[in-house]
Amino acid sequence: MRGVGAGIVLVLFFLLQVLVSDKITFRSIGPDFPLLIVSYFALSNGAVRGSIVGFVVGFFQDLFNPSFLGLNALTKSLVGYALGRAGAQTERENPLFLLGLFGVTALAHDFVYLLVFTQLHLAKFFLTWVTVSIPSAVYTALVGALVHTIVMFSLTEVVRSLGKTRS
Amino acid sequence: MPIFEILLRRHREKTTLAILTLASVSLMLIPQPSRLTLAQTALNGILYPFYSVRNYLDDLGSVKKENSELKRMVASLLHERERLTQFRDERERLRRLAEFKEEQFLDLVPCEVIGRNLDRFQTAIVIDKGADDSIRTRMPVLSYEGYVGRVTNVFKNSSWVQLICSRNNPVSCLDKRSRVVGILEWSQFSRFELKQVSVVDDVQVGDTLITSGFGGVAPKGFPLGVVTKVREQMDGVSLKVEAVSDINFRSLEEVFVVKDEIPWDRAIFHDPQDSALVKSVLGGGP
Repeated sequence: MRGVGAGIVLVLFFLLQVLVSDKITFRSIGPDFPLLIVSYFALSNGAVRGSIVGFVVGFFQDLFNPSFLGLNALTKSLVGYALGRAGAQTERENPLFLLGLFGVTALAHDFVYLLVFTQLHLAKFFLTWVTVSIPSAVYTALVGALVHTIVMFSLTEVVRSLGKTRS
Repeated sequence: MPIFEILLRRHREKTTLAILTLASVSLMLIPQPSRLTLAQTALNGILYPFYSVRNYLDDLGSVKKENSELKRMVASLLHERERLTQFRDERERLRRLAEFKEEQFLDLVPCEVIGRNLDRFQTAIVIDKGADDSIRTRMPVLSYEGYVGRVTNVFKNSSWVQLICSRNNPVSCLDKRSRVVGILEWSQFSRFELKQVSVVDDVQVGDTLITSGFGGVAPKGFPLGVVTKVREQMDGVSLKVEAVSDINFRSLEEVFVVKDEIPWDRAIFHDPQDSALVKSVLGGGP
């Protein structure tokens, strides 16, 4: 059931990115669904698959802005690798743990991304990291943990009601 | 061969990461034109149909509201056209009298935004007009509120527009009040910085910045933003000027590519023969 739940969460993240990402982003502050997809996938599939999926998702994002082609691919494959390595030792089902993990991941991702993007212009780097990355990381973590909790809770209820019907 | 076997079996995770890192860095090192070609080919093939469908569905949802808004706009424009026609005739007479320099109008191609980059820090949009509609690279792009950017890549039926809220797309501009010239560069969100302004230049908070027309990229006179902060730089010779744009670059839906400039006397206003069409739009029937 956990695998099914994870699949549903991943599909939901993808749909949210495609359909509502623009609408819930305010002044550059919004949830980073591609990052959530990579993080969530890496947690349950390990470092090899996590980093490959990170690379593919990042590369796909980079296609929209070839000026920095490869940057998202790099940062997201690093995220996939790190969370894939950490995945086995983590409490993947605990929403509070996921909340913290997604937040820290988003911050680390933006840290690496902005270092390259601002070409080590430290003033711009810190300004953007503080004003955009930190609120975005909180937003990303909240949305990620919320979607996970809702899907897992709903799935548990569905399975429970199916069990009652059969008995 | 044994080395590869060892790498792939014993250090599979690290080897994968190293390969992917190498691939990412290689992508970053590809020369700009090749990078663009790679991205264009991939995006054109994969995303165009998805965005078309999504925009079509979005349009269906808003078509009723948009229709009533358009009716209101047509009525207002008809009234305004009438006044403009009179102004045109009057101005033409005055121009001949004063031998004014012939002024240019713009030949605008309305375009729909069919895609935008997914990134929070970089800004480019994809529009639904391309080489088939005579769109060329470097053509300026406007929105209802002002100048938004320029065409950077043209495909058969779509084009990429790099917005001015990008780090590498500065615009030459004028202070509308004092005519001071500067270079406007994006800093973050909808905030911009006006560069190359000295302490003797007259720039004040509240001044409107417009495109200067210098360099031939952006047509002259289109709003770019309003000055929000002016202070002297540490060097004592230049000013730090901050400006903010009214345009919400993240929600652009329609833009206009400036294809050409039309002489004033050849500019086409609404033709009275189109009145049947206008009536049908306003009255809801033929």
